[in-house]
Amino acid sequence: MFAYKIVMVGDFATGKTSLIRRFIDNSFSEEYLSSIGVSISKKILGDSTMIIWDIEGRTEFKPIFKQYLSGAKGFIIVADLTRKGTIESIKDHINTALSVVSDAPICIALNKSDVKSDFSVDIEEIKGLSTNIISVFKTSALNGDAVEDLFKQLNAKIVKDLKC
Amino acid sequence: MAKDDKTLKEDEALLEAISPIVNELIDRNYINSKDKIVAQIAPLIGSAIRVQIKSHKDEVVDALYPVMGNMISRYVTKTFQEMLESINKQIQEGLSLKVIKRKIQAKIQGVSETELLLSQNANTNIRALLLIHKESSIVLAHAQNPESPINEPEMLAAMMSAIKSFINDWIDKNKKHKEVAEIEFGGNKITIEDAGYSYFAIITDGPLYTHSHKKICKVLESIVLHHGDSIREFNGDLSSFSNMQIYKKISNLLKNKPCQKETSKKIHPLLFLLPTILLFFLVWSWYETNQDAKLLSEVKQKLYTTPQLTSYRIDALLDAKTIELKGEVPSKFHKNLAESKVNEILGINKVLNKLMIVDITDDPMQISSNIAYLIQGFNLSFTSNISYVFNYPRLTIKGEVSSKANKEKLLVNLQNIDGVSEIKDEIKVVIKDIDTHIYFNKGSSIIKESEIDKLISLIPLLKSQDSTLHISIDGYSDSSGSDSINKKLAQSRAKEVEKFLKYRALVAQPLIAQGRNEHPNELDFDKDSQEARCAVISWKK
Repeated sequence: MFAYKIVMVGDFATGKTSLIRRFIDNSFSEEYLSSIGVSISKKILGDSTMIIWDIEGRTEFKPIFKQYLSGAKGFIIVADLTRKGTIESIKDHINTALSVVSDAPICIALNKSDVKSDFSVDIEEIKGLSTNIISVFKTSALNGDAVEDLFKQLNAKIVKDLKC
Repeated sequence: MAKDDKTLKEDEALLEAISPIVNELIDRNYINSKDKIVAQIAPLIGSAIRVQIKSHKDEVVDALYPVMGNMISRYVTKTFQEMLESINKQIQEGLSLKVIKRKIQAKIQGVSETELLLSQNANTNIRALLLIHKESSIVLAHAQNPESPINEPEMLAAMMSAIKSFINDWIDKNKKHKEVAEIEFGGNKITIEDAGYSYFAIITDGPLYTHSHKKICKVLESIVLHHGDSIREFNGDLSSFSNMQIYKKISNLLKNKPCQKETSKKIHPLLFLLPTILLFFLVWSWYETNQDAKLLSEVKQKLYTTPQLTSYRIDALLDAKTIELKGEVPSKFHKNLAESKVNEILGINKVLNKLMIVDITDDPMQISSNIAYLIQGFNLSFTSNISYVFNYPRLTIKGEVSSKANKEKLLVNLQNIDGVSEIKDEIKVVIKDIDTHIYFNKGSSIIKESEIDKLISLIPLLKSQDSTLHISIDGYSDSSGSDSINKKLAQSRAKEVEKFLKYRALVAQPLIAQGRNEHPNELDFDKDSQEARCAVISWKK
């Protein structure tokens, strides 16, 4: 039986909360996001209980609150396929996450895959940003594409690491 | 200026013209879109109240007082009422063990009993206890009150950790490492007790009282002491983290429940059990005593009615179906006899034979008692009247016996009594007269029915006499008829009686039967011819 924390990181309005909403069993009201900057959700996967911390997206004026990253066993970094800036931020988010938990596995979710984008994304390039990255997914919170896989793959990696 | 005046006038005219229309529009809009308006105004009300409180605080307090005042008053009254009821109940319990215990506690702690009562009533109602891993905010162990469980402890723990981090980071700007200790919401409270790698979140209905808090701190100390390492090493794998002992410790804290109204009403089962056991014991004791008395009486009766033991004083005591025999007997024979006789009685499990064998030949009382017992028995058996004088060690016996054999028997038995060394015999043997006439019909030697009865009644007397005596049977006849016939008749009559006594009565004495020619007792044969036809039984002179 495992119980661990993962954190969703990304720029403002990349669709982190929507992705979680597609996936989870139970959560607190999302209003907490705007009050204390975090919303907690839970998902049971086999004999694992995944506690998902959905932290408020980074903006120009508000950096990510590092305290919330502490103790995480994995990260999901979310970017918006339709906003180039959010993809460019991925590297910063990786650095921020690894500055708190250096050995945590990371999954990258390139969200809004259902919307046509003006530019192309080099998946391999993103994968190369860190050795901690285990997968890069093109997800859609709207139609649910790759959402399950995203969380399940992260869970599989975390459980595998915990068993070692 | 002229233009401005003109514009002003136009505006006023316009206002006057459209005002009724606008008012009507507003009214209609209000009726048709009431919900929409309420939704639009609602957020403004909060802000409006906040502004009003800032500028006219007293006014707001006055406006809300009738509602809030009553609510607070009702709440406080109810709380006090519950507490008073609880205290009254405890006082009404009177002088129970619980009260005595409380009095002693109050003395030891140096506080008044009322103070102690108040603290006992101020119980903390703990809803749940969570032991949370600080870094990952995962619940390591938790226990909750089943009557008011909490939902999703894992999420609550995460949220609490988030709030803690948030407050600590944003409020404690000076980095003095202050920690959040309490979060209050409505009547509930979350108290946070921090340790190194974990912290306790205690969720209570109402306040967390000092005595409960102290207990919780002790448990946390113990957890940190015994499980500190495994908490520190916790990586998310709950199966490798043994939390059973921690769970037990936490659960024990929850057992400290608020006043147990129901249990005080219940009567302890022992209160029913004890009288039942007592009653059963009394009945059983009475039955046992009764049975014992019966058994003891039976034992004493048995010892007394055993002839060899009658003259000895033997005490019998009964305890748990075991008979203890005490007293003095003259020989091992008597001792064993007493034991075997008692063993014959049903219901005796064991015989403790403590009879002492003593030489009682020197005890004149005991010797006299033995003599008396023997002579009494003899007199009863042989309808004699033997008396005795015992002048230790000399015994003198007087009286009459019907046979020498009986006399001898008595003397031998008396000599067998230990302690009797000298017997002066003044007993006379008086042989009882057996003279009996058996009459016959004329010319007959057949014994008549009436005469057989006579013979039968004579038998016991003959049997009680010495067998050494001789019985003489003399046959007679009347004078009528020839002498030879009469002689034969006389002989035959004597023989018939002899036969009867010898073969039917089986008398022990030798019989001598003979026919006589002379008259018995000088009877006149001619005159008393009927009486002359007889056979006479007597002792041979």
